Amino acid sequence: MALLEHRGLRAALLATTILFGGAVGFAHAADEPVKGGELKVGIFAEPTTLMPLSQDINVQIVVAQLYPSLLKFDGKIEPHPYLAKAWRVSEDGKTYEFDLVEGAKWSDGKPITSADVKFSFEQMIPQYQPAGKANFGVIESIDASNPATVVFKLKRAYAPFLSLMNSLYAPIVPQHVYAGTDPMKNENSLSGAITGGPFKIKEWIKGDHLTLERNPDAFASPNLDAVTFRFISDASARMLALKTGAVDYLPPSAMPYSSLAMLEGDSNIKLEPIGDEAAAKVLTIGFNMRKAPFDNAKVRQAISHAINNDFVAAAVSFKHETAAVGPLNSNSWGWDSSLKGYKFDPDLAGRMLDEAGYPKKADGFRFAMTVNTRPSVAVFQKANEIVVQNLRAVGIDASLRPLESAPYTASTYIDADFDVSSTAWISAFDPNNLVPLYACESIRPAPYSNFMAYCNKEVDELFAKGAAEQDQAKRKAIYVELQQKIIDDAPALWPMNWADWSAYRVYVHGLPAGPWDGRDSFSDLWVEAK
Amino acid sequence: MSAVPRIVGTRLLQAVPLVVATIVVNFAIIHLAPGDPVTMMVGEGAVSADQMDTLRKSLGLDQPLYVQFFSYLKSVLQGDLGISYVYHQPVTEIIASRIPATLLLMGTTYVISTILGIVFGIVAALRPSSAQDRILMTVAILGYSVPTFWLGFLALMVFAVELGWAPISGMVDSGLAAGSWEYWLSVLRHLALPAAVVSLFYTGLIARLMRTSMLNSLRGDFIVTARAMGLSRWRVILRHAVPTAITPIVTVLGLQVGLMLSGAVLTETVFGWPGLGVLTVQAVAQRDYPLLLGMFLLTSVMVIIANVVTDLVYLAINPRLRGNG
Repeated sequence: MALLEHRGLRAALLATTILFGGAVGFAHAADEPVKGGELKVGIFAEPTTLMPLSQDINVQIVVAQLYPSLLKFDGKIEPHPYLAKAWRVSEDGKTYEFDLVEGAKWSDGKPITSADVKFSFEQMIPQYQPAGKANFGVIESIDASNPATVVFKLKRAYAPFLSLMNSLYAPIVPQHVYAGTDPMKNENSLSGAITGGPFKIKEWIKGDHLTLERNPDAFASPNLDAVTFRFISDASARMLALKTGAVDYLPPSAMPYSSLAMLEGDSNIKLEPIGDEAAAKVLTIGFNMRKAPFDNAKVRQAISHAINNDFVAAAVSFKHETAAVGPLNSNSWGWDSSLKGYKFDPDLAGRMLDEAGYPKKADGFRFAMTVNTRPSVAVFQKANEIVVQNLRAVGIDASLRPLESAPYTASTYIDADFDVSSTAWISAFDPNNLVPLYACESIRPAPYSNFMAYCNKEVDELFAKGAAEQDQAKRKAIYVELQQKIIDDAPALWPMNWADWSAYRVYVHGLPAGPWDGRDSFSDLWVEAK
Repeated sequence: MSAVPRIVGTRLLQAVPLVVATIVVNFAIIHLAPGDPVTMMVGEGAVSADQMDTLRKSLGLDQPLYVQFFSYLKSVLQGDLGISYVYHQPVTEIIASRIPATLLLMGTTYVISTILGIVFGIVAALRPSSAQDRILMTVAILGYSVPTFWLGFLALMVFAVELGWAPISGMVDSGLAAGSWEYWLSVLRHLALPAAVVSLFYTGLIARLMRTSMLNSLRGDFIVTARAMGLSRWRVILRHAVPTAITPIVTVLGLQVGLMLSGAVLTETVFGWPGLGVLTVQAVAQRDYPLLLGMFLLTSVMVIIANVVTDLVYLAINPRLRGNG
């Protein structure tokens, strides 16, 4: 069941409401880009639709080629012109103006105008993009009176706004096709006939592959002639496909750590955590703070001391990752080496549990607990096996509770019926991404919410302060204080920094370097002439 | 012979309640399994409880189970298997789009393994315990006891990675005009490995059965009689022993036809073959109830039809059954 492998965890990565990103990287483009050629991408499942606002990771990587966004981003989340050739931000941070590329057209010949942008942000994104409401609720009004310029007025200054203008969060869709329709059922979402991105549909052999070709009328002309997505559900088969050159690129969603270990040493293949500083996340194993003994901070802190994070990180990632300190990945600009985490010290953990009122009983155990895990997600499964052993070593009668994807989501997020449960959290490129997991307002029975029921008013105040502040150095100071508070409260274990690894043949250059696992425009991508 | 239409009629009538029962059981199993399709569908976003309720309503999932069941039954009887939650397309269309690939793989496999299995079984039975018997039966046992996904990877490693003779995944290369001879050549190249791997499994199975059946048949009195009448050795084998021995094989072959359309799940997964097996796995993962029910229904109906057909083939090859259906 390899195709299950990433679904849940990728979903979790996306989960953060206030995420931005999308990026086209220039990191590898050492030489001059070559025009022409085809890129073959191995993805783990066929796109279920071509709806531009889908939440399916394998749809997103395709539609990012078919629809424009205002901006594109590099690995450092720096904005670059895309559909918008220029933009201006007002002094008070409340007005954003974007000038659109002249002569941009949809594939049916109709012009792409500011009205399409306004329509997308008012009628489509908030309703159908899962994070749309949270991302763009800050918009007060959109002015599209000039077809070549679109003006956003915000309710308040909101620092992450610009970085949300990527193809994943804010695709621009044709108003004349989608107005007044349910985009899921719209014929265009099945056929992809009318689009406006750098590529357009060429052929789709159901279940086998989907080929895109250069869109000659696009506002942004790509280097490649064609992109083929091959659907390969088995991880080992994908790896072999890359090894033999049947595919040229496996995006992170198609690359488990085990494949990483098996591809190492092949001089034809590069393995890289592309977009690492932006995309990285943290393996987060959260406590259910609604119930005893996990409502007791001392118990959670004791358990934090009981877990050997270094060992977990090395074993799970085949030594590609390190232990995390706190809820942010240590590659994030918001992370700081001054943060103080929990040292691995089983003796101390034992003493703290004694003090918390949970001494060992006659059977040698203090209390029993279960650890939710998903056997199909290798990272969760391996990490939780070690966590259980660590817990048993300090006298906690811990056992694994393996659940398949749907019941796992239900028990963790909807029914809150668990002791501890794992998630992957993209946190790196803006610390504000911690809001959906750690803010009081995010406690609700919905997928990828604050499932721990962690609530600290001081932390919430710091979240608000951090989002309103425009100066990055000041923001960092706020977020360091915030992280230390969360770490001290210990609502979760953070055993491992978790990066997105891509694998590709050495002749591929300019892969999307942003935090979105390659779900971004391939317009700058090129392959060496063979 | 007048009994034959009656037997056919009875068999078909018996199949109807079986199909209905299958629908009931499939429906119950799927809806009683833990997990909520709405939760799976909203997936990653921070979605409000209101939005989830709206979605649940639009899919009719807020209705009591029996209401959902009868509305499902009604549309199934009208040939409508519903709209996939995930693809937003009619289930019949999605399934139909995958049938050719599965039919190609399994049909090829079926023909190859039937012919080879029967031939190998006969050859092995003619000289029990000889070298040819031992070699064939060892290969046969290996063929059907080695897991196909493992064999699949082994075949990929040797023929695709090391030797580079076969493509690694999928059914056809991109960019070829559908229907052109390059297209079909590409399909053939992609077909070779998965078909060989699955064929090895079924050939092994059928060869073992055929050998046993053939040995029994060769010991029969009618063979002794035929020999005593002075018929040639090959005439005895081909005209008398083989037709008798083949009856139990027909049962197995009949059942396989039914299972064929469900696709070779593991093989399809390993070879990236775009058939019904992969589709089913995906539907399970995504809790796509209508699609899953459609697949179950298709498989069940195929097995039931195959059973009826097998019975009828029996009638054709074994005249003794015609009297007392």
